[in-house]
Amino acid sequence: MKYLSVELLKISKSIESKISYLFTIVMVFIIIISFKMGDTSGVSNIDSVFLTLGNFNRYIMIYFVMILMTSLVVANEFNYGTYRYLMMRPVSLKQLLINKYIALWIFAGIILLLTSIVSFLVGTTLFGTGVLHGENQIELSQPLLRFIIFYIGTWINTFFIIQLTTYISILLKNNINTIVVTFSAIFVVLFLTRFVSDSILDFTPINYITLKPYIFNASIDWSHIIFGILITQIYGAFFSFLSLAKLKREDVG
Amino acid sequence: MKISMVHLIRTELHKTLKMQIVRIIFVFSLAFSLLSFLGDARTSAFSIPLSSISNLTQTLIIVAFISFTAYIYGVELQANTLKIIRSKDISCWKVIGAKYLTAFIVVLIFIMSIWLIDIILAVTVFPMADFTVKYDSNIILARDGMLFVLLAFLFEAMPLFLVSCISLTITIFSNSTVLGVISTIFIFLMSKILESVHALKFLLPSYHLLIWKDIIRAQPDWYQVAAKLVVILIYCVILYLLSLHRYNTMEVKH
Amino acid sequence: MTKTILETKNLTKIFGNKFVAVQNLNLKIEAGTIFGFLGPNGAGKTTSIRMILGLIKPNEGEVYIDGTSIKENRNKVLQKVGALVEGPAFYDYLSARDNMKVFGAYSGNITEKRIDEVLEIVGLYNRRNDKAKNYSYGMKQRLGIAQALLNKPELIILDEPTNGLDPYGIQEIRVLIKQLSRDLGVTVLLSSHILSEVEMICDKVAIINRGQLVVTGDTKTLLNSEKKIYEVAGSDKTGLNDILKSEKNITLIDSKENESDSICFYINDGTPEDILVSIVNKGARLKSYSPKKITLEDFFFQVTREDE
Repeated sequence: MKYLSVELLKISKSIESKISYLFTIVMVFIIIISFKMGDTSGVSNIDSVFLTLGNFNRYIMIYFVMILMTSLVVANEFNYGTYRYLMMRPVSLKQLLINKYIALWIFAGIILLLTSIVSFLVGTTLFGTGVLHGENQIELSQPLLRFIIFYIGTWINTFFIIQLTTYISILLKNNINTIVVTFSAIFVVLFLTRFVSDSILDFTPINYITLKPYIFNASIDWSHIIFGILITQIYGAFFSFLSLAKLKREDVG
Repeated sequence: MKISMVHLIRTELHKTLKMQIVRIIFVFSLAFSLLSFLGDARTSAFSIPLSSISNLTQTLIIVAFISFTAYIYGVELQANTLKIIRSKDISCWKVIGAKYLTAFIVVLIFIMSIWLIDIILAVTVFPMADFTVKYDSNIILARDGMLFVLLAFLFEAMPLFLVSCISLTITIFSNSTVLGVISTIFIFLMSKILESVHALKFLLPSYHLLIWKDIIRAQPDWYQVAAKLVVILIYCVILYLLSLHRYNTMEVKH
Repeated sequence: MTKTILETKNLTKIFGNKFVAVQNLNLKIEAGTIFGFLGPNGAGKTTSIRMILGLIKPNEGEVYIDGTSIKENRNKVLQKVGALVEGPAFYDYLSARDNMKVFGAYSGNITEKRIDEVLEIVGLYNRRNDKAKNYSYGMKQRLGIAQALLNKPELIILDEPTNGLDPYGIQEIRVLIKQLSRDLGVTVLLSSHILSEVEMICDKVAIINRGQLVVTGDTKTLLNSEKKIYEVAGSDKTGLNDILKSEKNITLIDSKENESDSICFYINDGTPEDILVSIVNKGARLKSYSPKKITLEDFFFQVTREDE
């Protein structure tokens, strides 16, 4: 992980990361306050954590943040022209990509953690302490375990969007085009899922964008969670392979 | 020699329509609108464009598509031509005005292209029959269908122009096209969530994206349409004036 | 015997199966020299440099840096090379220091001390914490040279390094290049359109035109061995020009390039005295007639025009 520190440096000093943090905090407030203005009987601070993380997934906000950051870290190398200067150095393409992935993944983890912490604090202020509620207000046991699974599962799954966006960045070599095309492509795919049965979607990352359905039952659906994470990583690995193949094949422009 | 506004707009339009991202977006949005052919069995040709505009606006994907108009100003930042424009004898209000009007024309071309492709394909496959919509229990007659659908798309250009204005304004203020695009998408996402607060609804830009719903009804709600148009127009004028002030007072360093 | 730091063998690049950008380029650069690589725009200089750096895959041929093929051991080879090609490129939102840290990490084990050293060398140490987007073009150019020096390369490739620099900056770069070569034994491959600079500092030059190597050799030897240029001035420049055009044994140098009253020409056949007698007999009224020292610029025009 030779280049990890500099990739993290690039992310941490960018204005895009600051916007992402701001966006996260603002969205948490908006989600929880909007929810507060609706029917909120029996809602606890723990519920608010799952509420925001769930909304972050459902409205693909976390995906949007990661698309933004990935385009900064990958597409901008072509925009700025720094890619050719990296390729004039004894840098392995595989190492370069892996380090970028890991740096972005760490950033995703920070964003999700920030979402969880802010939600918990705001939720405690607005709703007070309480237990975790599932469908039809049933009490769910092991809230901490469920949170850890939800957090880690969602975090691992952001790897897929990082790998997908990297591939699109390498194809388009422009950050704006990458953001617009990736975001649009995800919307189109999500729209198309209406016409596809669940049995097929179970073999795509679509059904695992949010792990909430597998956690919010009386018992945790471990098989679906593990299977979902595996499927998502396989698709991600496929895009990584395509990215590496494309970069190796083409001349540095 | 004074440069006319028409000439400026023509130049801007020529520049914009040659951009790669514009072509990508046009193709993408047309392809997306064709997805309306999928789904439940259609009995009327009018339900295709209706489904198209519904999918585009309710999922907010159209915001992602339209925010690319930030490039109309962003291209000057990228190509470092801002200093050339500022050194010419063209009033600032004309420069910014031309960009905003170009954005409006591009948005109009964009939405009407979708309408045209949808309606041509739809009428070749389905009959022009009476139809209903989920939000209105009354039947919309076929003789009104074509006009209502056309007007819905035409009026939809206004809230989309608002999207464009927001995107352009943020780009001008931040000197960054990326910020313009992502901030616009963020604003609309936040606005969508805030729609659950009824008191704020009418002020929210995402709410006005659904102006087409007030038109495609058995009895169009023209009062609502007019009210929404007024709000949109006020927002657009405010954004234009803010941009103009910023452009007038900023230093061009690069 | 001096070792060969860079060697290209039959390097060829064809774009789109039609356009031959570089054809059979054979270069040999000895360690410790300053080598000028010249050519008109579109001649294939940048394409050649990119192939040397492994940015473009050649259709044919090999590149050897310090005896190792770049195809076989890219990482080992690139450890010895630094380059500034097609203008500097940086992360605008990072400071000069942070930019150097990033490039240093990709070069491998570059210390903070080395970063400060190179920034000092290029005169940017006092501005090291300023963001790259706030730098002038000249400062960015210097920062570009700094990143090329980070890993203490044995071979440094500089493509238009003095672009955008003021006369002081140009002189500093000239001194720096000489120091690198003389004191540190670094080989410099310099591509520049400022031929007077190249003539001043390069030990050897190669001129490429339309993708092919036209001439290569020791700078002084090439300039001395070439045909003599003579300069003649008269009271009626137009009349004199017409007379000279009618002379069969000379080639006129395009007078558009010569803004003074004099006209320059090469003697193809015969002696200078014979030419003088001939033009005077044709009615030329002369003010002066003397040999002109051939510069690299004259040589460049001659060689590339002959090639056309």
